[in-house]
Parts: sequence; C-alpha cells; structure tokens
Amino acid sequence: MKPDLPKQGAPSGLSRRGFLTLCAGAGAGAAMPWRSFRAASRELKVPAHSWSRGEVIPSTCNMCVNRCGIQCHVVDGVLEKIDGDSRNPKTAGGTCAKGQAGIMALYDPDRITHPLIRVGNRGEGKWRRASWEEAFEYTADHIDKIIEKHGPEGLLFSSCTDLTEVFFIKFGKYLGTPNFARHATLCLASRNVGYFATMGGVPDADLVNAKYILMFGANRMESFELPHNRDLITGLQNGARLVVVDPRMTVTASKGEWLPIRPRTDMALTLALMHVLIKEDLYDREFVAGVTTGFEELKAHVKQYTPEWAEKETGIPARTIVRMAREMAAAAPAVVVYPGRRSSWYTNDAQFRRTLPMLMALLGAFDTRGASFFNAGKVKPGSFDWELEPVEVPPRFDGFDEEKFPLAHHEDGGYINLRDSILNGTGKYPVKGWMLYKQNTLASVADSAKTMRMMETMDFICAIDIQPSQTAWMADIILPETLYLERLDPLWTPSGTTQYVGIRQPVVKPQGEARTLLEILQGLGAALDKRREFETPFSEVFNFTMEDYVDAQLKKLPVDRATLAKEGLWIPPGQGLELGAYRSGSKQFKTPSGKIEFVSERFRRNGYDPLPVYEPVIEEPGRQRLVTGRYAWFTHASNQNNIWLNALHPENEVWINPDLAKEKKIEDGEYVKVRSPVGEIRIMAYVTPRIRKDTVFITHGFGTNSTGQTTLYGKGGADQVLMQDRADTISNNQALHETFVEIVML
Amino acid sequence: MTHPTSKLRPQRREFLKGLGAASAAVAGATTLPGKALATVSEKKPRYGMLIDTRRCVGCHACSVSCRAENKVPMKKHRSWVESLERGTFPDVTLNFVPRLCNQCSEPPCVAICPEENATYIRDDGIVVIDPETCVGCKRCVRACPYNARFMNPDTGAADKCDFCIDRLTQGMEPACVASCFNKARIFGDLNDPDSAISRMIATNTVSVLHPDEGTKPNVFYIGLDEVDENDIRPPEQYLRITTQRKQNLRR
Repeated sequence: MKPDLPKQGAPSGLSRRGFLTLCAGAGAGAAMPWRSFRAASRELKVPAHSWSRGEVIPSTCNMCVNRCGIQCHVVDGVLEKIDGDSRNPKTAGGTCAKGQAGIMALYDPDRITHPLIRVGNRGEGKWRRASWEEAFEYTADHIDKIIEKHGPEGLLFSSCTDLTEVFFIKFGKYLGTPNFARHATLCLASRNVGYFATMGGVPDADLVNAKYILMFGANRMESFELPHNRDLITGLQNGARLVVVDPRMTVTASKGEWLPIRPRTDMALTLALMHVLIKEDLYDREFVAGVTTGFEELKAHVKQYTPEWAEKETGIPARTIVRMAREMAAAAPAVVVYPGRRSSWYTNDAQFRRTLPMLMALLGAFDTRGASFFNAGKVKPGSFDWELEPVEVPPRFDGFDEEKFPLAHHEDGGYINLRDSILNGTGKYPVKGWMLYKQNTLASVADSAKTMRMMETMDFICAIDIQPSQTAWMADIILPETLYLERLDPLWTPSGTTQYVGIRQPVVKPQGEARTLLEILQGLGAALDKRREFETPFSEVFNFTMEDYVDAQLKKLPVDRATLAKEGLWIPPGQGLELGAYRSGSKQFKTPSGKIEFVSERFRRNGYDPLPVYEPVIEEPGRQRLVTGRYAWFTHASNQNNIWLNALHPENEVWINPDLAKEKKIEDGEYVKVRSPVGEIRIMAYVTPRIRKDTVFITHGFGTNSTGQTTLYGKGGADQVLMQDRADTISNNQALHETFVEIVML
Repeated sequence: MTHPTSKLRPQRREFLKGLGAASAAVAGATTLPGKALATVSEKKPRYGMLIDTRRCVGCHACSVSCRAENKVPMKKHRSWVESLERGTFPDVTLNFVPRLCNQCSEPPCVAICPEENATYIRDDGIVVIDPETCVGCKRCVRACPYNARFMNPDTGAADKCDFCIDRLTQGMEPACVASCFNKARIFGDLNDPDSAISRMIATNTVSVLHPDEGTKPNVFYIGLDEVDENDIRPPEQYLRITTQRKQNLRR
C-alpha cells in the first residue's frame, strides 16, 4: 500500500531551477547565468543534475599562485565545471577546493563589473557607477594633479604576484616612479635573503625520494605548492620520515612527527642539530670539504649550542634532538631540510633561514637523489621587447636601498619600512597617490590601524581589483579587472621538477564591463598622454595586444599560439633532472666564494653576524604569542568571500589550548575578545590540543570592513588588526609572529 | 563487537530488523579480506570506491568539486569530509574521513522506499534516485545509516551521491576522484580483479563504515579512523569531529 503523500516538488514548493538556491543569501541569485535544471528522463534513467559537457577549454588556474592546469567545461558561454588537466605534469589532474570554486569567483554576485567612483567618505561604501571613459579621465586627472605637485615619484604602486603584474610595474616605471611595494616582504623575502647569502639560491626538493624530511612551519598539506604536496604524500608512502616543527599542529604535522616548538626558538634547534652532527662526527666530510667554506668557524661557533641548552630554549627534549641528528645522518644524503615559503615570522628570520641550508650542507643533502637541488629550468619563453627604455627615476622615497637594507630586493620595497616612512614623515619626499593592483594591504600587512592612517595621508587611491576587498573599499575609484577565466595572460613555465609552457586564456566572455589589466593601463595611459607630454608616451609603450606579447614569448619555442591554446600546455622533450654538477664542482654557487658559505661573506660585508647568533626569546607572561597561517581552502586574504569556500569555513576562530581555556574559563565555540597592544577583535574560540598553551592561532582574511563583501562581512576577526608592525632586521620582511595577545571573556 | 554509533540509534536498528535487512549484517568485520570482494566473476561492472585516508589532507577539493559538478544546493552535501581530532597535547592525532553515499549492496534506503522505481540499484551497483518518481516522503533520508541522503529543495526529491553517473557515461571519473590531487581516491570496477581498485583492496587492509549495519557498502577505506559525526564525545577523552556539513548547527 502506498502512502498518500504529496508529489515531488510540493514539499518545498520551490521551482526546479536548481541554481537559485546556490546563491540564496547572496541576494543576487537571479542574475546568475547558470543553466536551469533539466528534467530527468525516465527512459534514460539519467539523474536530474545531468548537463551537457559542452566545450572543453584548457587554461591555467589563478585562485592562488600555483597556476595548476585546468580544463573548463563551457556550455553556451557559461562555465559549468572546472576539472584539473590530467596531462599537466605539475598537477596531474588535481585541483583544490579553491580551484573548483573559481566558478563562484567568476559569477560572484559581489564582483565588481563596472568602474566605481566613490561618492561618500572613504570606506563608507557609497559608490556611483561610471563609464570607463569617465573612470580613465577621473584617474588621469588625479594622477596628473599629483605629478604636478610632487612629480611622478609622488605615486606608490602596490601589486600582488601574478603573470600580469609585469604591466603594472612597467606602467609605474614609464610614469617615472621608483616607489613600488610588491608581495615579497609580506611573504618570503627573509627566506630568500638567508638562502641567497648562504648558497646563492633557494633549492627545490626531491620529496618523492627523500628518506627524511624536516619542515619548519611549512604547511604543504594546507598551503599548497604543487607538486610538493603530492610529492610529500608519495614520499611518505615510500617510507620517508617527516618531522614538522611548529607551535601548531597543522595537517602537515599530523602526517608526521609533530614537534610543538616554543615559538621563535627554531634557530636553537637547528644550531643544536648542527652541534650534534659535528660533535658525533656524523656530518658529510667529503661534501663539507668539497663545496663549503667556513666549517672550522662553524664548528667553534656551534660548540656552545648543546642539545641540553636547546631543550631549555625550544621545549624539545635533548634526547629528541640527538635522535633527530642521528636519524638525519643515517638517512643522508636523502634528506630534505625544507626551505619553506612564507617566512614572515620573526625579526631574526633571515638569520634563522640561513641555518637551514647550513644544516643541509652538513648532511651533504644537496644535488643528489632524495635531497635538495637547484632546478636550472630547461625551457623558458622568450621575452617581450619593450623597445623604449624607462625614464630615469629618483631614489625611493622610503630609503629602502643599499644603505638601509643592503641585502634586500630594493625594487620590491618593504611594507613596514614604507608605511613608517609615510607616517613618521621620514620619507625623502611626499607620496600622495596610491595605485593598487589586487593588493589587499589592509588585510595583509600587520597593524591595519596604521595602514588606515597611511591611507588617510593619500590624496588619491585607485584600486584595480575584481572584488570590493577591504582595501579596495577604502579607495577613491575601483577599476574592475577581468578574472583569470576571462583573459589571456603572459606565458609561463613552472620552476620545479616539471617543465612545460602553460597558457592562461579566456574561457568565457568578461562579466559586465570588466577589462584586462593591459586594457585598463592602455586606457589610463591614453588619458594621461592627453594631459602631459611624457618622454615615453604610453600610447607608444603599450602599443601592443596581449596576443602580440604572447607571440613574442613564443618566438624561440617550437610551438605556436593556436596549438598552445588548443592543448593548454606544451611539454618539451626530455624531462627529468640532471644532478651532481654542484657536488662535483663543475657548477659554482652564486655566493662570493662560489661555495656554500657557513660563514657568510655577504653578511659580514654588510655588518650582519656572519654566523647565526641565537638571541634568547623575550616572552610576555600571561599573554600568548599570536601566530597565523593557512587553511587549505583560502588563499591569503583573497577568497574568504567566495560563496562555496565560505560555506566550508564561514568564520575564523582563535585556536586556544585546552589548558589555557580552562584557566580562562573559556568554552569551545564561545566568542571571546582578543586584545593586543594595537587592537582588539571579537572572535570565536576553538579549543584544541593542536596548539601550545603559550600560543594562539588566527587565520587571515576575515573581519572585513567592506560591506560589499556580503558573504564575508560580519564574520570572524582580522589578525592584522592585532599584529604589531615588526619586521625582519635584514630583509624588512614583516614579522607576523611577534605579537603577544590577551584572551578575554566577552 | 558493535560499532559505538549503533548504540546511539536503537530505533533504527529495531526498524531495520523489522525489515529483515539487518540479517545480512557482517557483524564485526571491520576489515574485509580483499579477494573475497572479487569472487563474483561477471562481465558487468560493479562500481566501488576506495579512499586512502593516509593520503587525504582534508582539503575539501572533493566537497567543492561535487557541488560544482552536481549543482548541489547550498547547505546540502553529496560529498563531505569529517575531520577527527583526538588526544591531549602534545599527543594528538588528526584524521580525515571523506564521506559520500556508500552505494550499499543492501541499501536500507531502497528497502524502505514506498514507491516503485523511485530509488533502486542499477546493474553496475550504483544506487540511484529518480526525482520524478520520488514522492519526497523522506523515509530513505532517515533510513540511511550514513546520513548520505538529503532532501533536495530544488526537486523536492531525495538526493545523494551517484558516483557522478553523468561523468561515468562520458568516460570520466567521478568529480571527487578527478579533483583529488593527492590521489587519495580510487574509483573502479570491483568485479574486475585487475582494476586498480581491486588490486589495492587485495593488497591492503581495508574497512567500511558501520559494518554492523549490514548494508554491505561499496565504498572502502584504508586507514579509517572509525568515528563519525553522529558520535558523541566520549567522557574523559578528547575527541572533536568537525564537518562542513554541520556548519549551520556548529556549536
């Protein structure tokens, strides 16, 4: 007997247009260009969600900086699904949650699809829609005014790493400003300085064949770097031993041995490991004698750093340190001492990073199977001929130069130094205009109140972005850029164990009036050309199309644009690594001595300790050190507003050790106040044994002030509100883990 | 040995017994000898999935890939990931259990359905729902011991994972399998002893979720940490189960 029940469709009374509910809560569902649900065919027994796969267009992802190969299923001009490209040697068909959610970045109801000019106060969120013509005139007017008053050097250009960033930088250079601020000092500047001084570069790692992998904080299972995360998993299944040193148990740490180190004492561990290797005669004598310098000095230097001493500093038992050294020596040379990527941790970071290649060199774990190695890169696209030489520019306004930061990469700028120069009035000349290219400075530089004050000093702020990010929200004009799925980008090759040339190409038409960065700069350049005579007129500099640029890059390669567009990538013959040239001495390291330098000549010359000297940690009793990091489904502070990704993790939490929670009488899931010397946020507590009692963790990108980010607004708290503006003394890389906070019940 | 969760659901167990479905229970068999699975030597495929939790990092590529592929409404999930934290500082373990419909050979959801042809097992072993025939009585949603079914507000019908039949017919792997860049999932024909999945099952210790329910799942796990979101936190032992499926009920 069949029960008398309503027929399908009746219970919810909703239409069969499947997609509408996908954007419920976002408000603008009806504008979504998704196909309506197709009724299931009884005869065919095909499920209701079936959709034709349409055209498959290969391209390159841009939801983070990994640039995975993707295949986009486009039906009637609508992107229905993104799959990984299984032919791609780097990603082998995989994508991550972010890559999958690229669809929602494309069809995000919060996306800016036409130029917006501010009408209310800065940050008030009152905008009016403008035509591109008006937007260019408006921006050119303001830039012109600043040039009139302060010269072109009165403009600051901030950008985030991407394939198109080159155009933005070139635009600033042809305009005549030396003042750039790039992503490096928010990320890996200190690591690069440490590694370049020691061995002339940052090595890649053969994680598949390694027997022992030591990672400091590096979180490859959540902060992806392909193919390293897949290689690491494969390496572990091949029997590698993984040790992760981190005050917080990341997913990466959960796959190996977790050493919950006392924060900021990492160098004590590396020094003690070197101490044991040398004392017990476990180091690689041949390698040390052959390709390193300064061993005797190192030996004398690390004598003081005993495992017993390190135990007191790090909280890691001396016997564990001795065991690690012995295990590493037994596995050598198939050992990877992993360089890590984001090294914006502590004020001594460049010195700490130096100890990693030193440890690696003692183990002889370089330029051989299962170890670190330099990847020369067999294939490289040609370069575009810019024809006109950029104009001569004055020195930077902020003194980020040879004198102040001799080892830093000066063109990249240093955010902490730069902001201080503006706020303290120590700059050599005023900077009054700020051009931003998808840089969310408010959410990514420590102490957002200071960034806010810096913005107040600006006469004009222009943001080129795809969404109303926290920073774009504070701008005077927002110029909407196309998403990676809507444009052709410069070609690129990965710098890793795999070699190919990949293409990023449009798979759908741009949403609304969004334009590519090149088109935006061409329009803006033309408007500027009308206002004044430049030595190198923009109409001449940017007198090319994206296709021209790509064709120039392809000149020396045996593949044309049409083939590349069809295939998505070009794999040169003869993959595989050639190892041993550095070991045998036929290749030299790019250091003053041509060898791996235990005693850094570059550091000595510039007045830094030539051997890493440990400084004891100063703690603040009763308060916790704040650390930050990644979840696998968010990139920096860029896609927390993505509907699909936000659904995975609607708001961030502060991780609190259960013992601390007990003392503070804080329950899991309760909202608490986190207070630092520079700010205060309200945030949910996540009581977990995955963190030390003296440390708390908050991830990035929440607590937005932009009401334009409708999915994200009102959720979680911003770590950058709390963080103090410390920086690594050598590279000016910001030091995000130098702030102590207090957890208070609400 | 019974699974701890079974104690929490006396009603359902009674219910299943009434239907006679529980009589086929593989009592206590948390690990299945792999060869036994491939004994049925038919030409027809029987699809199954093997999830190697050692390779899983809980990145949710599968969760979002599934949503994109199958147009799953927000707050509903065909594919989700549970993350399990156990222990006390510093001896903590963290494990992930990617979840989906288990495509059972003895599916209680099919047994309880009052309609003919609304939900059934296809020849290839995939349990499917015909939303046109489903009357939306929700019995199957309640009967599933894996909470794999939900009511789709768009169709008014029950909904769940179907191994992406649409992709299979076009020679593609299910979306969750294709997107997994750590290659934690293997999909294939359990009837073919030479398939990758059969070989993996034959050479590894595998287990299924809730074997005591007698559902004979066709989704297998390596390294399964067998607790799911229905479990309560055992006293005196720290255990946290997080899943994006319950975000709205969180805390």
